[in-house]
Amino acid sequence: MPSGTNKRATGGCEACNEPLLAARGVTRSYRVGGQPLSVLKGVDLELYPHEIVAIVGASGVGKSTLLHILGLLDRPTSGEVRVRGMDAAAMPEHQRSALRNRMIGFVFQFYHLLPDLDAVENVMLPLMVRHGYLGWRHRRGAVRERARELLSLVGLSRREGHRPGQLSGGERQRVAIARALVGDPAVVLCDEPTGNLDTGTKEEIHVLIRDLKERLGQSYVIATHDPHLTTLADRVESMTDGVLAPRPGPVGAER
Amino acid sequence: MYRLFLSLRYLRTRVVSYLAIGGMALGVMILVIVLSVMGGFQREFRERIRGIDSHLTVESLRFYGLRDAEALCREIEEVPDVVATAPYIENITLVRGVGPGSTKDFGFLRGIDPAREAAVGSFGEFLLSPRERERELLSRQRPPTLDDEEDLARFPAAVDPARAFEGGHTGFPPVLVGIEMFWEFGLEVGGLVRCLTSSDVERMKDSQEETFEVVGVFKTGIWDNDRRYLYAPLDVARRFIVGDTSRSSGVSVRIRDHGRVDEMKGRLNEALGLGLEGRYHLRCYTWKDRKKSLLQAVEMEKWLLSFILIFMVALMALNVLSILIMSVVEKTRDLGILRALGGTSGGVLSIFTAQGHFIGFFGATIGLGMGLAFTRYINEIADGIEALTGYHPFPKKIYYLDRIPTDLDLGEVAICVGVVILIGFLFSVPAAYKAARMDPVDALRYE
Ligand SMILES: Nc1ncnc2c1ncn2[C@@H]1O[C@H](COP(=O)(O)OP(=O)(O)OP(=O)(O)O)[C@@H](O)[C@H]1O
Ligand SMILES: [Mg+2]
Repeated sequence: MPSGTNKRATGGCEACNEPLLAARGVTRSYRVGGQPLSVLKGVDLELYPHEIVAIVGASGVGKSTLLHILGLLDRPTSGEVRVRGMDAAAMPEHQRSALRNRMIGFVFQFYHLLPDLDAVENVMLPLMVRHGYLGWRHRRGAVRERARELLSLVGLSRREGHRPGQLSGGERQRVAIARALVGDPAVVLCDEPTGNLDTGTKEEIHVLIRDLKERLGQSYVIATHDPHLTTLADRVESMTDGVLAPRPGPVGAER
Repeated sequence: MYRLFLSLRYLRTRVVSYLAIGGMALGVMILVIVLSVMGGFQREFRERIRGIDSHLTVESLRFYGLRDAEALCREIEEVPDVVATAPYIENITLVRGVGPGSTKDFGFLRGIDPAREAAVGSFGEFLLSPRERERELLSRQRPPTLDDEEDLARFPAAVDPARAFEGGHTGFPPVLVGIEMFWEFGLEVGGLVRCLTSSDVERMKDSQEETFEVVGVFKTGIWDNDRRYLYAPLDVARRFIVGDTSRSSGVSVRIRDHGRVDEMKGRLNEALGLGLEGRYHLRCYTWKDRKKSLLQAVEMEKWLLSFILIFMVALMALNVLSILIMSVVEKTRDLGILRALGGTSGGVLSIFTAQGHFIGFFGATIGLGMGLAFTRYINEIADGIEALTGYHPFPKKIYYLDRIPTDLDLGEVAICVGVVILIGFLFSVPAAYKAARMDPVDALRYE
C-alpha cells in the first residue's frame, strides 16, 4: 500500500483501515486520430470510510475520466482499481455492474435523470436494477417507501410525482442525490455536482451533502471547480498533468 | 425488473411505438383479409374449374364405349359414400349453324339424361332460364338499364333441368348450346345446328350427320365449356354417335364429400376391379385429373401472392427495426445512466428486445382481431361503400359471384401471426445490439 501519499480521516475507527476504493498507478489514454492522448498518467488514490475527498483541477485534466474509472464504468489502460480490496479489473463485466450497483452511487453535473420517470421512480431505479422480477414483487412497497424517505431527506417530499422536466436544476440534483443513496452504497462519486447551479443553490447542495454524509455515512469523491465545495472536503486532491497531489484544504482538512 | 418496467414505459410514452403497433396491426389485418379472400376465391374457382365435370368418372377406353352402363351404375352406387351416378356419351363433332352467315367449329356433343346429370354435377345450375339468357345477351350489347329489367320480366325466370330438352317446335332432336357458342354463332332458340361426327378414325368417310334444334342455353363461366359443349338427350346422342342405344362413354359419379375425391378414386378402383381382368378398358378419373393444368395455375397464383405478401412482412420488419433504432438513438443517454446505476449491457439490450416483443405481440393480436372482424363483415362493408359512393368494390358482373367469398384457414393465420411475432423479436435484435455495444461513458459525458 502506497502509504504516505494520502492523509486520511480515520474517524477513530480501526476497522475502517481498509480503503473502500483504491486506485494504484491508474493510467488512461485515448487514441485521437491515430495519436495516443494520455489523460491519466499514474493516479494513486485511496478512499476510506466516512470521508469526503475533493478532486480539483483545470477543465479537461481528467477528473471525470478518473471518476468513471473509480466507478467501474470505464477500465484503466493500466494500473489497478480495488473495491474493498477486490481487484475490479479481473472481474467480468456483469460482476462489475453488480458491484457498481451495490457499492457506488453517481451524481452528475447534468443530473442525468430519466425524463420518462417521475421523481420517486427515478430514485427507485437503482433498486429496480438490483432486483429481478421475483424479488421485486414483495420489495416494491418497501423500496418506494425508502425512495420517499430519501426524497424528503433531500427536501423534495412534495415533488414525488413530478417529472424531471417539471423540476428546477437544484431540485433535479437533489433527486439525483437521493437516487445515488437509495441503494445504500459505500461510495458516492460526484462529478461537478454544482457545476450547473447558481450560488444560492450550490450552497444548499453543499449543506445537503455534508448533512447526508453525517446521517448516512457514505464516503464521497467530489470532482469540482468550485473552491467553495472543497471546504466541506476532508481532504483535497489536486490534479495536474494526469497525476494527483494532495493540497492542504483551507478548512476541514485537519478535521 | 427495470427492463420490463422501462420497456413498457418507453412503449407507452412514445407516439412512434403506437404507430409501430398500428403499422404492425394494419399489416396483419391485411394479411388476414388477403389470405381469407384468396382462400374464398380459390374455393370458388376450384368449384368453377370443375365446371361440367362430376367429382369422378368411370370411363371406357374402347372406341364404341361400354355396353351395359346401367349395370355399372348400380355397381358403383353400392360403394359407400357414392351419392349419385349418371351414364353419358360424348364425342367430338363438327358444328355448323344453319342459316345465312353462320360459322363452323369443332365441339363436343354430350349425351345425357338431364335429371340424372343434374344430380351428379352442376348441370342444373348452369342452365340459363329464358330470362337469364336474355339478360346475358342484352348485357353483351349494351349496359343494362332499369327498363330492361321490366322488359325481361316477360321471360320465365326458372328452368327445370329435368325438362331441359322439352319445348322444341321443328321436330328435330333438341340440343343445349353453351352461351359462348350461342353468341358467336349467332344462334337463336328454335334455330338449327348441324353436327357431323364419326366414331371410328379408320372409317372417317362413314361420318354421321344430324340436325338439331337449339332449345336452351347454358353457362358454366368457363369459356372452354361454354364455347365447345353441346348437350343432347342420351339416346339421341347414342344413335347419332354409334348408331344404337346400347353404348355409353362412361358413368359420372357424385360422392358425399368432394374433398375426398382422391380417396374415393382408390375405393372405386378397388371395388370395381378397374383395369383388371375383364375391366381392363375401364378407368376412373377425378375432376382434378382432368383439370390439372388449370388447378396448377390457381396453385401458382397462390404462391405468387404469398411471395408478394412476404414483402409486406418485410415492410413490417423494417418498421420495427427503424422505430427501435430511433428509440435507441433517442435513449442513448438513458442507457448510459442505467449502466452507471449497475445495469448490464445485456440488461439494457433486453429493454429493446422486450419492446420488439410487445410491438409484435400487440400488433399481431390487434391486427388479427381487426382482420377477423373485417373478413366477417366484408360484404356488409362492400355494401356500405356502394351505398356511400355508388360504386361497388366487388362488381357481381365481373366475378359472377353474389358475395365476396372468404375462407379462413386457421393454420395459415396462425403461421402469419407467429411470423409477425417472430419478426418483432428478431428485428429488435440489431437495435438492442447497438444499445448494448454503446459505451456508457460516451453516453454520460455530455448533456
Ligand atoms: N472518448 C474520448 N476520446 C478522446 N479523448 C477523450 C475522450 N474522453 C475524454 N477525452 C479527453 O480526456 C481529457 C479529460 O477529459 P475529462 O472529461 O476527464 O476532463 P475533466 O477534468 O472532467 O474536465 P471538466 O472539468 O471540463 O469536466 C479531455 O482532454 C478530453 O478531451
Ligand atoms: Mg468533467
